[in-house]
Amino acid sequence: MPKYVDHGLYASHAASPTWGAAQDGDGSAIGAATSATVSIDLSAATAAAGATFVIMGATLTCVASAAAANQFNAGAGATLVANLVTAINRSTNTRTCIAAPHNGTSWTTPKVQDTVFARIGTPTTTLQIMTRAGSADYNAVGTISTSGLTGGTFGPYTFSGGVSGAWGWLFNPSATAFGSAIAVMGYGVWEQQKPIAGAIAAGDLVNIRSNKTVTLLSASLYTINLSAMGSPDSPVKFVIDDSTVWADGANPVLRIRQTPTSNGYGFTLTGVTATHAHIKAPKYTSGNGFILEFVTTAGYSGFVNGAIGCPATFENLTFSAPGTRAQSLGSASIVGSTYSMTADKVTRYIGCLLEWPGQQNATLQMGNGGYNFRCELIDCEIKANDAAAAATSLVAIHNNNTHRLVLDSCKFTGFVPGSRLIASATAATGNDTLFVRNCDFGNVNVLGPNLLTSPIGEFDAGMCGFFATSQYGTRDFVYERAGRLYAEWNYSKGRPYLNARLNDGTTPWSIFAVTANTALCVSKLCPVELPRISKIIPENVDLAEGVRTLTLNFLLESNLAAWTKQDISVLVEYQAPDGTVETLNSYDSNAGALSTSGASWSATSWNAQTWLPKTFSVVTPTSVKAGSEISIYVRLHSTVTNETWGVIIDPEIIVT
Amino acid sequence: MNAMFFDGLVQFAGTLGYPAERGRFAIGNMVSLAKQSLPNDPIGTHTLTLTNVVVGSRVFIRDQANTTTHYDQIAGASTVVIPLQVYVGGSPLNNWSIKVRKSSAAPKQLPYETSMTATAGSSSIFVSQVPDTIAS
Repeated sequence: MPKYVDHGLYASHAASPTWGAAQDGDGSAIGAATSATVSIDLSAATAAAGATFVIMGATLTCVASAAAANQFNAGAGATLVANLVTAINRSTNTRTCIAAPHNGTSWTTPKVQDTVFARIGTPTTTLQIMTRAGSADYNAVGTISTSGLTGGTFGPYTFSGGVSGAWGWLFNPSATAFGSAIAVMGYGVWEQQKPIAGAIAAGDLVNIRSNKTVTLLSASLYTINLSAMGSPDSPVKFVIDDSTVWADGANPVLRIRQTPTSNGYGFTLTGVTATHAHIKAPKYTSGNGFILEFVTTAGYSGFVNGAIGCPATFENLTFSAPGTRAQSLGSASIVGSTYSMTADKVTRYIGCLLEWPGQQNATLQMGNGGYNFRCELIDCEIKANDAAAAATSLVAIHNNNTHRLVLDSCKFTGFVPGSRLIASATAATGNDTLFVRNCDFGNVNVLGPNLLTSPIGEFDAGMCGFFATSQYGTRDFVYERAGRLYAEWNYSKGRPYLNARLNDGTTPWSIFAVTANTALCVSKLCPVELPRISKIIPENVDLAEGVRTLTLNFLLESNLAAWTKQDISVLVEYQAPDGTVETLNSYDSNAGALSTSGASWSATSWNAQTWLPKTFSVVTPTSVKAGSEISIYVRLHSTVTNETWGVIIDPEIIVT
Repeated sequence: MNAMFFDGLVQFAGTLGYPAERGRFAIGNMVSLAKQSLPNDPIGTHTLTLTNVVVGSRVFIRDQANTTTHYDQIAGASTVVIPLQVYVGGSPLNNWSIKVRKSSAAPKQLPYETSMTATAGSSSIFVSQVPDTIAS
């Protein structure tokens, strides 16, 4: 059965409510809830020390005098009523109500003063109690009992008149809540203390009313901190309404807004390790249906963030700091948190927009030191408005623990050409990997070399580094293994080329590769390998089966002129006619000289550098099976001290 | 035809279409795949511009192994633009022998001959023909 949240539906969550006016609902119905009430005649009752008054499992104990938390003073009749009112409403009570008396056993267990409110009735020997939240589940259940009272039989008593209705608070944005003064941003469907009535159960569908703006206090740092909920197999789904449930007109939008009055404020949407939730907003042609925004025209700094660290999915959300640089120094980021993830958990942002004025760096933080994270951004837009200079580091890599960030089909817009994805020489000593699939980087066209530093290097591809591929356009790729290698095919760089062409038959391409300058991470007997280049050998009808000569052409940066066949080699795998897989390694431990090539590269001067045409050929000792596939791995055996040096490889291995 | 690759990084597992034609690379999932070109597979064009040609000269381009004629025509203007196919790297068909002669009609010229290895793109050659004062 779906549940409902209509933020602001109830007038107040103050400690002293209007009598009978519900302060929240139980989420089980669309409209407003009604409180349940009970009147108890204590005109004949006398309480002495040791007597008890129990409300929904929360026990208050009578003392002779000087009652403190969870206690009430002795008395009789009207005095006893007054003493109980004081005790029930005392802000310092710690006794909590149990869920069991209600129909829903998975309710939370709030403090007694947060669950009910008491007053002196008419006559004054009557104790009146109302539930702060409205729910039919409070009715007709013997939830109030006494012990030790003299003068008659008192209880059990039951509430009546409760009517179920929508929850009314995503969070308490500007004032403390209920009898215990729950801190601002401490209570609500999306806060750590969940609603006092009803339950957010695993697998629930919770509809959230839109078409409203929830305003946060202007001068505070806030966290919308979703509590533990759902389960890995039954997450809770929150759907921001698009007028399907409530008639709020066309394209309603839910906004959470902070308008700061000075520098340094902002708010973060996050959760905890066990927040198994999916918040999904509608996506209109005009934009996302859920906007979190940091709004200033006075040039204040601040932020609106989403956080990594909870197994939640956030779909079609906008994190926005609108305006120009002159109006706002706000930022929008995905940041780390202080919760760790396990392998079965991921924080996922789908269809989200991050936008801010300027060219803020570190807008995507891969994690936080001391915690493990997995985060995926799918079909998201990273947008810099009014950018004036190139960004120097949009993804912040942390240098310990396990951090995985996946960017899938994302686009970067509004950036100044030359913007850089990762800062050069970032430490990546842990298990930190950025995977990128099919992203449109726009003017963020400096993808590397980044020379990620790692004293021990990356043991295996994928453990630590930056890996990007694309199955569209010019199919650029980046293959950076921290501490070991940077290789890329980047069309926008316009590097020299020789024979290789893309699948369109006309676009030339080449591979640039440079090893890191980390001693011991690359060595003669422990080279680093480039991704596989595969060649399909012609069928026998086209080219007679036989021994093949494989020729690799490449440009060697002139500062590496001393390189030999011990510094660069090729590993070839091929299939002999009998099906046997053979390998051929060109590595020369005698450091034979590389052969100079006469191949006509498109250029041998590029990037104000001189590139030396080189080549080497290897001959297969046996015939290569016609129609089979050969694999070629270029291996680099030496470190390089400058990220602009290295080699440019023609992938068109010549087979003759 | 598609091939599924789980090569290198499983994160990038996916399909990669076999290139339909030889000598063209499909790239994806950290794999670069091409059908090996044959020596006589054209991979593009090279636009050769000859300047300062004496009108009426015969321009004759063959491979250096003298197996295939790439171009054989009479120059109608002093600048001759010749688009020619180039072949897979290493193919001997890319090794051109270029001859310009005018020996049938006056004013006759001494044979001009040069050679080059062509790749896709363009180039220009200034043809320095010398009048054949004896034959003329």
